[in-house]
Amino acid sequence: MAFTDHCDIFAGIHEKSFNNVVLQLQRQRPSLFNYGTTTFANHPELLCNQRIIRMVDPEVRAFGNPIVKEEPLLAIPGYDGPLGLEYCLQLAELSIDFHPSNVHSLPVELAPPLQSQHLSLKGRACAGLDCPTQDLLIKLAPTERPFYPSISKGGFIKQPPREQPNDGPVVKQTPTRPIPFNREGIICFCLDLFVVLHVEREGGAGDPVIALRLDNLEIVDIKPDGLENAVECFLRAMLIMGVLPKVKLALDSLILSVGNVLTIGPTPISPLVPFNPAIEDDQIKAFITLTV
Amino acid sequence: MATVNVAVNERAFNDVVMAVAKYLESVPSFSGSGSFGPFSASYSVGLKLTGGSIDLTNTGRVHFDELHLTYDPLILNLGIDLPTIPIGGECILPTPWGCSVRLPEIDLFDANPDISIPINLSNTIVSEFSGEFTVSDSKQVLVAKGSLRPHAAHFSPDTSNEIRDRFRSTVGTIPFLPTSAVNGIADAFVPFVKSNLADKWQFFLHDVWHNLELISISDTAANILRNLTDFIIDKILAPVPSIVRGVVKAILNPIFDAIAAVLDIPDDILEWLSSQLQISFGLFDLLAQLIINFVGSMVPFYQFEDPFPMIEDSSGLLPVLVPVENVSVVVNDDEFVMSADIG
Repeated sequence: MAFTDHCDIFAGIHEKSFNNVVLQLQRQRPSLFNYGTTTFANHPELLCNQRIIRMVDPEVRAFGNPIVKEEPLLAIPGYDGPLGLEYCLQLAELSIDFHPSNVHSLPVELAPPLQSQHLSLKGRACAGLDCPTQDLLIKLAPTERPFYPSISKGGFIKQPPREQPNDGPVVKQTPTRPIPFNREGIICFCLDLFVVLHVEREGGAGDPVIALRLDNLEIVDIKPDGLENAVECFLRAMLIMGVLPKVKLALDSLILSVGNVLTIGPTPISPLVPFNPAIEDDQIKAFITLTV
Repeated sequence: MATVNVAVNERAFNDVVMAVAKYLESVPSFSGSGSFGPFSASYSVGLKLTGGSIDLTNTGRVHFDELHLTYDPLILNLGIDLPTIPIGGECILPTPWGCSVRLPEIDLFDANPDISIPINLSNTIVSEFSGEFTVSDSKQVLVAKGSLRPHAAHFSPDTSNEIRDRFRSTVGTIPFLPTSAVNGIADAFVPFVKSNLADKWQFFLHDVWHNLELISISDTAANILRNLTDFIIDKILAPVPSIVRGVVKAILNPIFDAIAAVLDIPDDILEWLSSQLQISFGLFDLLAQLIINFVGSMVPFYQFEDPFPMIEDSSGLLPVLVPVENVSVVVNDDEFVMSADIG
């Protein structure tokens, strides 16, 4: 069977290509995947997931490109000083799996195997916080004036004239100095996120649109379950309301007219081409038709 | 199976031919004129693609089958501008106060041009092109690259003479060519290929055979017959309603097509022989084939780097280079398939 039995131009891209490109991105543009404060940026060997650091192309270092994108220090709520905590965040093991599922082992919550015309995305987010010792924290804590409550004759506690809490922001000052780094105090954790999506056509016949639809998502092994559900709910809301609406593609915009004599556009849906694009055979396939 | 496949079928190629035909119809004819002393000439030429197709073959060749280019309009106007000769004006009744009656005065040959010979060959002359081509690919790895890593090779301009020397040795195979000419020809092609030290996938065109007839005898003869018959019918049957004349012309049309087909038989045989022997006939076509293949073996019609710079960055970050392996171009009876492994 020819690729173009039911269209004029066919393009098929295997999931391996997508995953290899992501891998090359991780190797050659590590600063897109690794974020951290000053010390982590200067010492990538301290990051939580060393697997993606070991993968970094030696030429990134040779050309002086950053491995970690430097982020501001983490402010401590309630503390009104220049010090902040150091942290790192890494996006690792990003991959895509087109139906049939053979790249990802989907968790049971996502009802494997992957349904026909569906795809799954997997991402591992690793975060680390450099936790200072308690002694150090005590030493660095601000020495505010002690609280001297005075008891009135009626037995009421009179508030002394000191700074009162108000409705202002919890963090008033952007930290400018890190708390001295404690190499033994780096606390790391990783979360695996699986997302199942499919491509859907929406809009009217005159204005068809290709949209990505979220079927389900799962964060593996967060406890307690309530926290897991809450985080998943938050991510679902973010994806459905914030991210996926922006990846809609108007099919009309894909129709090219060459010199008003040749039109190149997606092959219309028919029994012979039931899905366009189609997600099958571990590939995403696009069928294109030329009209004179 | 390759991880990226792009296929274009025979119908798409022919759609492109039809699109070119439609495009040519919308292009206004080009015209011009010039004068050389008393002689002048003007022309108006338009092109129409009136036939032909592209076939993909199981032999891996793309076959251009009798693409017909008809010249319509094709009007040539020759003119001669003779010197103006005034006649008359002589006085026939002179008086002491001057001439009271003169002969009428006329200027002979006062138009420009005075004699005009229009030659209208619109929809008559046809050029025909047939041929078979193949596309091959190969990877260029320069010795000068040495052990450079991909990014370093991407950024290093090729200052070696490797490509130049390779071209010179290829051109040097032409017998009786002086060294200066060998060097001059080879060096002229170097800028089309030489860039940086990165490996490159290169695509080369090979002319298996072709046959270009500037004036296709069979089609031009059929067109002359057709135009002549149309003219006669329009004159003789002028009183007859035009619809009847149209029917008569339509009945005769297949006869002219048959005449064209019969006259084209020798040409078809030559094309078949060309295809079998993989060589063009005719001095001009043979020379053109040799030149196309000679240049085509050195200069790729398209090349791209491997690894391919997928994401360039202007802020000083390295480009993201993605390896492209196992690039192949395959032509079969159904389609033209390009495939590669990415990453």
